[in-house]
Amino acid sequence: MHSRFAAVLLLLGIVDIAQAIEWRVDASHSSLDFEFTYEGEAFPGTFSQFAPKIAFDPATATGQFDVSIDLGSSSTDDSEWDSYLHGSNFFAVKNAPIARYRAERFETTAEGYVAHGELSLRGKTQPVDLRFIWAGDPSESVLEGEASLQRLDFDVGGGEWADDETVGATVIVRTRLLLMAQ
Amino acid sequence: MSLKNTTQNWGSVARLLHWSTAVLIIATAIIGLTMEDIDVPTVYKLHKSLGLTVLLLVAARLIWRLLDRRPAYPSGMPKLQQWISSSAHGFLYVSMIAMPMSGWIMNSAGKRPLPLEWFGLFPVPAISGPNPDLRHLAHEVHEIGFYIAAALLAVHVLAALKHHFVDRDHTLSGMTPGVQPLPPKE
Repeated sequence: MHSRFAAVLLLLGIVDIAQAIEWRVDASHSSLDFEFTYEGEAFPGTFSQFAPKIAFDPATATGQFDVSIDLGSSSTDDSEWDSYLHGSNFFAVKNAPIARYRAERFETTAEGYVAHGELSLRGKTQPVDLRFIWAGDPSESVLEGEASLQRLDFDVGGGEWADDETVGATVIVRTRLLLMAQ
Repeated sequence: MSLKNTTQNWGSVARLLHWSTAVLIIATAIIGLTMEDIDVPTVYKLHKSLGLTVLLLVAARLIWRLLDRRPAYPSGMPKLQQWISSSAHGFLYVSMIAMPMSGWIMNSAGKRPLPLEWFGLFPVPAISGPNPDLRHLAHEVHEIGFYIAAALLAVHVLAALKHHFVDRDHTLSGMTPGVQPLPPKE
C-alpha cells in the first residue's frame, strides 16, 4: 500500500522525486560489469567509468536512477577485443560515447525491487528492467542489480557479428553500488 | 645488376627480398607498438596481414638462399668476425620466423579467437585450438622476441654503417641500390 500511496503522491506532484533519499556512490567500491557469450561461453567485461545518480527510498520503492556509462571505458581481458567493443560495429564510441540508463518507476518483488527504466545506447532507447536487492541502513546501503538485454535491440554487434552464432544476443549487465546517504 | 648474386654483390632478387622485408618489418613493428592505443580493429588486422606477409617473404628468402650463392665476406675480415656475422644473421632469421609465428599462434590459441584474414582477401586458418597456456607462451615470445629482434636489427644496421664508413668495404653498397663504396682511407 505504501508504494501505491507514494505513487499517487508522485503523480499528483505532491512529493518531488528529488525528495527521495539521495545517495552518494562510493565509486571505488562500486562496479558495473557486463557479460556476453562467445560460442556459448561467458565472456565477461567491465565498465571502469560510470556515474550513477541514485535517489531511492527502499521503504516506499520510490526514487530516480540516472546512470551515465562511459562506453569507451568498457574492457575485457583482451585489448584487441576491446577495440572491437569500442569500434563501429559494437558501441561506436566515436559517435555516442555515453550510454544512459534512467528509471523513475519501481516495484517491489519477492526478492527485492525492479526498476522499469530505459536505456539509451547507440542512439536507441529501449525499456530495460533492472532487478535489484537493497541492503543496509539509512546511512550506508548496497544495491546489487542485474539486467538482461538484447544487444541487437540497440544495434550492438552489427556487421559480421549480427548473427548470434558466435556472440550471443543476450547480454547480462550486473552492478553493485556502495551508497552513502547524503 | 643481375638477378642472381655475384661473389661481390647481392643480385636484384636478394635486394628486393631484403628491402621489402625490411620495410614490412618496420611497419609491422610500429603498428604493433601503437595498435593498443589506436584501439581500432582494422589496425590489428593490418598488423596481422603485414606480419603474415613477412613470414611468406622470409620463406621465399630461405628458398632463394638455398638456390643462390652468397657474396663473399670482405677480404681480410677476421674469421671470428665472420662467425659472429653468420650467427647474427641466423638469429635475425630466427626472429623473422618466431615473431609472425608466435603472433599467428596467439591469434589461434586465444579463448575467443577473432577471424584472421590476409588483407581481408582470404581467411587464414588457425594453427592451434584454444589453449590458454600456449597463448600465454606465444604472447611472451612475441613480446620478449620483439626486444631481441629490435636489438638484432640495431646491431645489423650499425654493423652495415660501420662496414661502410669505417671499413669502407662493399657490405652496405652491395645490398643498397644507389650506394657506392667509399674510397679507401689515406
